[in-house]
Amino acid sequence: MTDLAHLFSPLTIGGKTIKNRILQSAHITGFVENGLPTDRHVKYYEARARGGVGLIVQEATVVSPDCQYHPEMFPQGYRPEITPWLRKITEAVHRHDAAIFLQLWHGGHVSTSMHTWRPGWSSSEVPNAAFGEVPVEMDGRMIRQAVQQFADLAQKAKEAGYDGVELNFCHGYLQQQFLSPFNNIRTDEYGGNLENRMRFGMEIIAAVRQVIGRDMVLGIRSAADEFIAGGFTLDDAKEFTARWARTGDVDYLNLTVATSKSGPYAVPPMMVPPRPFVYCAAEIRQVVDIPVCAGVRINDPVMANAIIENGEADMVAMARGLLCDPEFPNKAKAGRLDDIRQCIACNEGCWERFCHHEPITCMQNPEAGREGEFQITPADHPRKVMVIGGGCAGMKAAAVAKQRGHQVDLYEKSPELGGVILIPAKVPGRQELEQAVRYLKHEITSVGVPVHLNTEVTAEMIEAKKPDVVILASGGKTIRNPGADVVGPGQAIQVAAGTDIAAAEDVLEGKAETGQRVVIADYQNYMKGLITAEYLADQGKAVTLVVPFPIRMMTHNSYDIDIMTYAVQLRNLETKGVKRISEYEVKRAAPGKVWIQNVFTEEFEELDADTLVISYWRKADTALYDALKDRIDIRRIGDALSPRRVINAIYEGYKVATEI
Amino acid sequence: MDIIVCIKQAARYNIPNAVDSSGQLKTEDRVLILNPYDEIAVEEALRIREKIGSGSVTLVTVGPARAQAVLRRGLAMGADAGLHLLSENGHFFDAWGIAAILSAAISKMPHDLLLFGRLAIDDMRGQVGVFTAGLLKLPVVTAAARIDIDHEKRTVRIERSLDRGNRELLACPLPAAFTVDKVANRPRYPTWPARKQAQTAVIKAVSVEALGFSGEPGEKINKTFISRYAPPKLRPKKILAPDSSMSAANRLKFIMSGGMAKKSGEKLGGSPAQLADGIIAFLSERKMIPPDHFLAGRTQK
Repeated sequence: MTDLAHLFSPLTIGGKTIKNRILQSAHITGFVENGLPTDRHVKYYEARARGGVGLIVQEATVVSPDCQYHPEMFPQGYRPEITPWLRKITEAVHRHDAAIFLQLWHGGHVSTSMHTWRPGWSSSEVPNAAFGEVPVEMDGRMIRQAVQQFADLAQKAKEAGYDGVELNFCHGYLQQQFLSPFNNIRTDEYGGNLENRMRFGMEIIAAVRQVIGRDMVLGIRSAADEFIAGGFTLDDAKEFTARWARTGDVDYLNLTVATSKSGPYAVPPMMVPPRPFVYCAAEIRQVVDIPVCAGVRINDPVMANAIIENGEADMVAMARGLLCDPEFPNKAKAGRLDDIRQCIACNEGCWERFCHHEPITCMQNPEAGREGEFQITPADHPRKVMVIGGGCAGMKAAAVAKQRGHQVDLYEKSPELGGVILIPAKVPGRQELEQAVRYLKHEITSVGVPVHLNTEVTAEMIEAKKPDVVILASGGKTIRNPGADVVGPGQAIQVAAGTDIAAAEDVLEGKAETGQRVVIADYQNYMKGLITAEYLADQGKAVTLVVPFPIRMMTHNSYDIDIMTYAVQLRNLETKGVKRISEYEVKRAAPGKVWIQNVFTEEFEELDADTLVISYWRKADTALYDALKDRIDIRRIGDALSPRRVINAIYEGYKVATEI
Repeated sequence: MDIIVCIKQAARYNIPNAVDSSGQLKTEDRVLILNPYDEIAVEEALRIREKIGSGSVTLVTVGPARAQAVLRRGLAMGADAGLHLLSENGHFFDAWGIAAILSAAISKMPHDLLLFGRLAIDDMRGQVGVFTAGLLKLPVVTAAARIDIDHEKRTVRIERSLDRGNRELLACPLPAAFTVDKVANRPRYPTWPARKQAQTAVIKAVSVEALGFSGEPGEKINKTFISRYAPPKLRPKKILAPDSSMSAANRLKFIMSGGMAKKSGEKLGGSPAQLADGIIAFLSERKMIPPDHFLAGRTQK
């Protein structure tokens, strides 16, 4: 029996006792409307408080109208109308015996005038690595104004009943732009040596402490290592965190890493090992005597407990872990570890949607961000339901339908459940995708859905069984023939006889071997091509990856890879020697050769290749649907409807089951 | 040839010792087995009897009632008889005490050869065999790896384990005592019928009181007593962390590989002067050349 006593022991921070060591770290939700929080926020935070978390740090709330990267995405803390909403949130959270702090945020030059019609502010006129716009160098008056803005929002937090505030001094935002020698090239008292570069932050700490007094907690979320050449390192962080602690005004430290240029490591994707930066907290804990919180990519209660037990940190911060399963703390405390739906750091539902200015949800948890709106309620009339296809869509539909009281049977033609997601799960770095399958399997087992493996369902079988509803989740098919009639003329490849050609799915499943020199035609322009490239490079092959565009033309709302995942995957490909050619399309292949065409000039180039690997989208398998659609209530979900992503599959599985 | 093998129960090795708040050993969770070195001694005795073709192997143990389990184990292996010197649970005898009890009993029994295990895996003393031999005024060789007995001449040639596989060669006359090392043999596994039979074998039991010992506090035969046990101090856990002097890309590489570092490095090329500059730059970057060193900042250019 695992005993998580350390994780569930209370901790006193700045005079306030927190009931356990789990902290929900601040993250943008995108639930804001017209710049203000909404009922969606209240329900979201209340669900997590109900789930047992000890301390919630609420999303970064803007202190200044001069900096936002999208006015619609961030709560505008500088507006007086925000206070009643803040009060609603604190009341909801306090009802469940959790503490809540407000995070105060000024992004500095992490801002774009495209949204604000104003320039960003910063320590120096050094453009932001992510947004690229030249900021205004802050003079004394602007510095005092920014400090005052922090104090003003702290005052609102006090009035709204927060137990404390957390200063966002991390992720390359304004304070870090002063602290980091990478951004700060000033020559006045706010630039140069460490004491000067810390001055702005120190002024904020003093001003905020002045406003909140000693009854509220003041904490700092800071990076411990910027991971860029010219930025600060953990050795530097040990010095400046010690100085912060010595002021006597800081009650705790919440550590993270990275800055704008190394942003992917702040919300690390799946291929970054779990708990990668806990060592930073462990080292800093040795030089300060205030509680230290370790976070980033921690998704497991046993791991979290070990961090506390080993003395690596006093608290463990999670954002995605609790987004995915708000009941994580309750389940962990009750010892129901298998019931926990673990975050797999796919970023599909959360970070990626935020980057497209959409409210966050979770790939595995469609209820996240839709608390109250997405609920499993009993069905009016129990129906007989056949779910065809044991992939993510089918399993989700079956589980939810069963929970609603329907009579459900799940059919899967292969010997195992999981569907197409099992293919990328074979690749090192993507194997956590199997966690999603594990949880779905556990869910259908717990609710008692009968599963029929090795059963291919035919139209005759359905007619014999006479179900009320058929949910068709039979998935899609691999494209192995890149002919114009299959993939359309613009993305077709003329393949001469004798060419060694294989589909990426078959390569990943081990069904196809490749020669030594491989060219991957990535017409899907998505993860499949990238992970196949890495997979083959790991085998020692010489891999060239050809993509039409490195990013899509219409980047807003496009079907794109989460930028964090993409950046880290590119890093992996670079370090493994994969050649990437972009703005080219593969047009012809013959034994030993592949011809690629420049997207702009239409000029051809020739590449040597032993094998051409093709990575296209997938095709929906419409056979059963076509046969039965006029005779029976048959509803397609997931790839069987249109091959897209796991988040769509699980969403549609959930949705269709609530509709029948 | 009358062979006596002294055996005991020892706490199994892979269960950590628990200590209570007053420093006493908590015995409830211990699993007790025949001390593996003693098992090897029993095997050695059986092989000697088999080689000579005649003789007896008698097992002796000192302990509370539960200790009979090791006698039955040895009987199942093929020993001829067992003698249980019965002490009470919780009574304490140190190595002197045990040796005194054993020698009191053995002195009244015919014995040509005394065998002991080299040490017990729980208390790790290795003293009882030597002390018993001393009390009985027998020659003793410890850590015997190989025992060759010349039955007619009543002499023994012993190979004794030294470090790293080295051996020391000794000889002595019988009667003698040896403590047996684990390299001596591989004990036989008793058959099921033999174990069943041993379950019901009659074992002679004599209380230590009858031999004149009590084991109560103040027992005069002991020369030492255990004041307390302390669990091992926790060793600080090592956490893998990249060093801040590494470049940002290398720090990330370290983390992405889970702490494994593929050996790679900068390869310098060029003339000796360029190589020298490269080396100085490399060392300076890692702060391995102090600023006042004559090489600091020095380049050929």
